Amino acid sequence: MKKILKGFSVIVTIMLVMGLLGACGKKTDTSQTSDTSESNTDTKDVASEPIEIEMFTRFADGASKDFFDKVAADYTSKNPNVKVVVTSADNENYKQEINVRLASNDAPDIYFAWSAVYAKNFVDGGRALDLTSYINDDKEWSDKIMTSQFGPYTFNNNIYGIPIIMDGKTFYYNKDIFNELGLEVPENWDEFMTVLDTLSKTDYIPISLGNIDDWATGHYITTLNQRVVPADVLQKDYNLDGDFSDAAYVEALEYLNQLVPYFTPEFNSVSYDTGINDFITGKAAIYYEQFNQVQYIEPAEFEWSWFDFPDIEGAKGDQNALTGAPQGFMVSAETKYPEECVAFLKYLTTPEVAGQMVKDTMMISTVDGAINETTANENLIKIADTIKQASSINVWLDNSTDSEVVSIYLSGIQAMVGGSKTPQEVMADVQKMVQTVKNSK
Amino acid sequence: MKSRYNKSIRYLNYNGMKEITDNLGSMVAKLIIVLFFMIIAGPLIWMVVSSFKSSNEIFSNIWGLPGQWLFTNYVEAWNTGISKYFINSVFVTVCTIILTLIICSLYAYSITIFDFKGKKCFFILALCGMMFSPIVSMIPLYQEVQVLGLYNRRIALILIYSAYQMSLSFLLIQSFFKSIDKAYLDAAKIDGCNNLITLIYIFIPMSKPIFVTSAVLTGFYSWNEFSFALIFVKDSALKTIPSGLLAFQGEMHAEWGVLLAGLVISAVPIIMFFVFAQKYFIAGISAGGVKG
Amino acid sequence: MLKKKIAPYLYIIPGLLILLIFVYYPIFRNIEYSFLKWDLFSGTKKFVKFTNYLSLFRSDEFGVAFKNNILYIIISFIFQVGISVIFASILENMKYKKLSTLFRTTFFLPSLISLTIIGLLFTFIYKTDGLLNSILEVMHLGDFTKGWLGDEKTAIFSIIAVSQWKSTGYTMMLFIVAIQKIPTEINEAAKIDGATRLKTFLHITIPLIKDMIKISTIITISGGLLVFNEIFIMTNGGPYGSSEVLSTIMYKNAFVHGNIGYASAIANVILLLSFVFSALQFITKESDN
Repeated sequence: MKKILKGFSVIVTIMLVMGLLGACGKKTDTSQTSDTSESNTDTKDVASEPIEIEMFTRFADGASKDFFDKVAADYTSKNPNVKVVVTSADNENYKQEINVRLASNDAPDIYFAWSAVYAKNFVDGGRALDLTSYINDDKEWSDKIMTSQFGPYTFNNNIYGIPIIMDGKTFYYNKDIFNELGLEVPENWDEFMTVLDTLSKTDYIPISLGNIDDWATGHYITTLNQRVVPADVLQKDYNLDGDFSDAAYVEALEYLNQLVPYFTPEFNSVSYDTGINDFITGKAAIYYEQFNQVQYIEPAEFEWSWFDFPDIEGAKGDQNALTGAPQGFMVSAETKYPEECVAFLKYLTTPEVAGQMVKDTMMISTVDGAINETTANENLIKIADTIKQASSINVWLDNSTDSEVVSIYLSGIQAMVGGSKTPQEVMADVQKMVQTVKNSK
Repeated sequence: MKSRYNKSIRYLNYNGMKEITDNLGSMVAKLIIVLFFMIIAGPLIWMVVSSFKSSNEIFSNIWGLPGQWLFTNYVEAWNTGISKYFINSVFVTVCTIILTLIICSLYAYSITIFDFKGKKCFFILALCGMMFSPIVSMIPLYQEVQVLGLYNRRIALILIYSAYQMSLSFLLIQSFFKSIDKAYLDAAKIDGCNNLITLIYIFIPMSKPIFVTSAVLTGFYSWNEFSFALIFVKDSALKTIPSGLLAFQGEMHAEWGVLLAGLVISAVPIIMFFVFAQKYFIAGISAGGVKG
Repeated sequence: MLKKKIAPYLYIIPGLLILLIFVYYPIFRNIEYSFLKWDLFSGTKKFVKFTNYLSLFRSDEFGVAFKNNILYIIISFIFQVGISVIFASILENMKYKKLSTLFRTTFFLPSLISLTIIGLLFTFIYKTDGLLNSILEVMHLGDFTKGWLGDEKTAIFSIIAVSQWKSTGYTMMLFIVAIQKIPTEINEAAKIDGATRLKTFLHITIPLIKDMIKISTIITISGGLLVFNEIFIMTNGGPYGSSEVLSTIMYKNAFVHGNIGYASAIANVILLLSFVFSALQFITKESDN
């Protein structure tokens, strides 16, 4: 035993020394990080070789990855002096990946970013290039991108991101079931409840929901907050300037509670996939889902359509806003080649390339004219029109405010619909977390 | 006379009681064992049977045999991704085994045959690696892997698996080397063999069983390791089975029959491996006292 | 001469480097990180002394996670040490060797299979329309059916049950190996003395496999402390944080919220606790030799 202890003390000393050495040696390490940044430094002095810019996306597989790879290759073949390298991390891991790239001072030149608070983090950290002048200098290009979609990338009147795809959340419904039961599309909350009542007397699941990951009910609250909470209060609270004390938040949660009896039984144990599956196999009548997921609805063998989240009459929020944030790209503040990066983003948002994106991936482009008869089917064209008509955009709760506040908010909602918390308790937890986050900043 | 009679009566009674308690006890014991057997085997059998069903049938006909045996589930699972995860797993496992055995045998050899400054210290350093769990070092390792340019490459897994498996293999190999008669070493020296040749041509061949045991344990660990595989390798083309299956589940959406087929394909090799290497495996786990 | 002097070091260098870089160095970085407030977005690091530890110990998530780890350890101890040693002894006493080999191998199988496979399989079994609920229906216990992983009261226990399903056979195998090492004469002698099976088990088997019991206890405890995979795969800590353990809150804080300093503090708490147990294991092994 004694021998072991002695051995230990020796080891600990060695390791301490190592730790110090390591800490000192660290600075030299970071300069030679991954392949891409190496080649950046290499190419700098050699003018004849093409410059290389890295674009980091969250599209790691399937048609969307293929699309971005192809665009990069096409661009390079048209502009031999610029080589665009596309790297990616899958959707689930993207946030974690980009964090680490930034932390190890290895920021990609162009990177994907969800809008709103998510993008604001990069802006506040000084990691994003201000793109306002580029956008104002080339109106011919920037006017083709839907103006409303720039909103969630605008901070202090400067624009930091180029929105590429747009989205919206909607109630898809099974027309066959609605016709069979003689139901009409509901316009307001009361009509909605009547429809659900009728459905609940049948064997159909009124609303399909898989809430094992808590964001699914979080999306309902995104919309309900928008409908019920006054817009200025909401904005202030999401920016953490307020404290989420408005009584309307509790009201929004209570509206969600009204829907609970109509959801899939035991929905907190049901996976997202099952949620979709129950709808497309005709077991459920209604399903709340994003427009960008329409390719998963397409296999359904019945007639389907969609309706907007019903208005809540007399509530203080915006009744016409559409829940659904754009997604796009930002340029690193540290890039050596800002001009080239912007030029590539312009290429990506030309109507031809954006149209190709719609055709290949069914993602809904922000570019005017990209969605047309040759690139999209009838449904997609109708969806694009719906998004265009919305009065403003309502960002997902996931991306609307600080991630720790979101985390406690979402799990609180999940607990509430599971019957273990009251709306008041959920908001009390959120308020507490807001305080904690504010104090630590 | 009397006392002896009594004693034998007592003995008989005692024996009778023993019979009864033992019989009753063993009845209950057997019943419990059979119940436990059903609990363990049930899910495995269910997995195999259901992997031949269609997504709907898995839940609508949860107990029965498939109405139609869908071997296509297996073909689809293999083609949609399992094949590439499989190849990556084989690659990572084989490389980890080779690397671990090389560094451990060199290390153990040096500790066994040389006398040098700090020997004791290096010995303890190698053994103590066992006390640190990889999961605790996840965050700094993540940064380290980035800085060293190993991120999203299978070599990161190979190096880290070797690092955390090294202590155990070292312990096994070193204690075996220690038991080898030093006379072999002297004989080799007289024949003019240098140290490396002695290691390769004398020590290693003599230690074959312990090398197999170490290889089996290391292979078992690297085949099944999940958390590092999840965090360090993001490219779906480079994932190993444990992390790849999660991606596979995401891609499958609701094709549950195919997913189950993927699970079966992934489970079979390690079971086959066990059947062939059972002896070494059990020797290894009981010597190392480690958990997979 | 010089060559001779450096030769021993040349042999250990490859292994030593790998160990130092991937096993020892990270431990020190972890300690360093845990005293920092590290903003990933701006890249600023600030020394904050024990703030991370203090806010960890005050947080609700730490309480829940720690409680779940303790639950994990207690239940695992009961199954993987208590029940498994009894099963090992029953199997070794069985008259039909073929049957006992079948049982033994079957019980051992789950411990070979990757937790991803097992985790995904059991998410099927625990589904609302899954195997477990349908068994309950058949047994006329329909009232007990539920979504096992989506209910905060059952989620952590459902996962712990999977862990017992996987690992009980493993420690049982360790015990069987130990029991087989007991010389047959000792058991024979006990039989002649007229000891009941129970008595033989308590007074002969148990003391003779004491060391293996110690080792299994330690690996079971540290296993319960470090558990990550099955929780990450099956519930990811949900529903509403009810099945979080220390390692999952560490993962989330580091890789989802980007609180590197705070997450490192959690890692160090796990390290400290597991270190105590691993040191015990190490010492036990050393004293055996």
